[in-house]
Amino acid sequence: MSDQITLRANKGRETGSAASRRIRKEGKVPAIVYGADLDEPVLVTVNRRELRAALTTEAGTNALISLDIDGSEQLALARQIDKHPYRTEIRHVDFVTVSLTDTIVTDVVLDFVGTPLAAEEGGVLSTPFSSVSIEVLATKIPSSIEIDVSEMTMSDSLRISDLPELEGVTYLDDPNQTVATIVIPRALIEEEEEELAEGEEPAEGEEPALVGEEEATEGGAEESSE
Amino acid sequence: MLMPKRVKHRKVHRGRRRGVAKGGTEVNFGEYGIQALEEAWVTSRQIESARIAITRAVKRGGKVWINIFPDKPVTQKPAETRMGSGKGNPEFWVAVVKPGRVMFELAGVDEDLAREAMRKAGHKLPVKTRFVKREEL
Repeated sequence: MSDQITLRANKGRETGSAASRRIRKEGKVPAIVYGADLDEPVLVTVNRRELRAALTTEAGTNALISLDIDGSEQLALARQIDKHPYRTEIRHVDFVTVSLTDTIVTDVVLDFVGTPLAAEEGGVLSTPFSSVSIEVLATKIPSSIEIDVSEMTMSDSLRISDLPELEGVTYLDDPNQTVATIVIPRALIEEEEEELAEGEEPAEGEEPALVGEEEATEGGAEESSE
Repeated sequence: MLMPKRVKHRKVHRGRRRGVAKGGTEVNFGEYGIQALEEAWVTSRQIESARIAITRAVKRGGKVWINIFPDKPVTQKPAETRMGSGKGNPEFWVAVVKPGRVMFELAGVDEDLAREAMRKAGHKLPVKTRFVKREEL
């Protein structure tokens, strides 16, 4: 369950890429606050360190943040976190205002607990989805949803409908959607090397077929057959 | 070795490699990944070599995803040839990699083994790399 974290935000920042770059250079992160409680979106800046601290608690990115916008408090959730492609840097954040009484739709991380029984036979746990979409009260967002995978054997799979029922939480995804399955890894290394030796794959010098030429030859063949 | 099955043009322009990766910057399929910190042309040989390094390091366990594909042909003129007489022959295939691109992903092994596997794969690639995890802020 989320605890409230206070984050200071300052109003009245400039817009534009150059201005945003200057803000980031000062150790701040440009952000925007919007939602049903506000008449119009508010452009703000937040301290980079404070923002990172707020988003790396046990609640993760679903932390309920009490935004202190130049003195006025506003309850919000961080959404659309824009990260740098390879630096550990947050470039921009959208804050969506929330009410304590209304439910919200959010994604929560799945936590796969245990080692599957199939691991002993060489099976690998595949998790196509790392999070699920849920509808819940803003104050009751779980930090993660735990799923026990220790009983999974070969060719077993877990679906959304197998997830634990939590108080006040409604799963919004298709109940038949698979969240975890046991897959058999590709052939052993030796076998792979044998495959390569056999030369089934195209050699490096070999050229792929040209799309246009293929069609031309097909067309030509049709014409000749007519 | 990875290469396209069919292409529209045998030879393409070299292009530019400015900027950072627009997509594929997060770990989406596995639990761990190896991310490029520089831009480069990664050849199909290098991709295959890195894949083998990962597979050997994790032995039997684990599942590997290759997120880059060498779809760009590189031409070369034969040695000791005078300039002119048109563009050279396609010799090999490369994937254009820009900073931030997650090139390989891995699942089904513990973090220490994944780090070691990715370290070994990194030695086979022409870029500086870093180890990344899923859902990392």
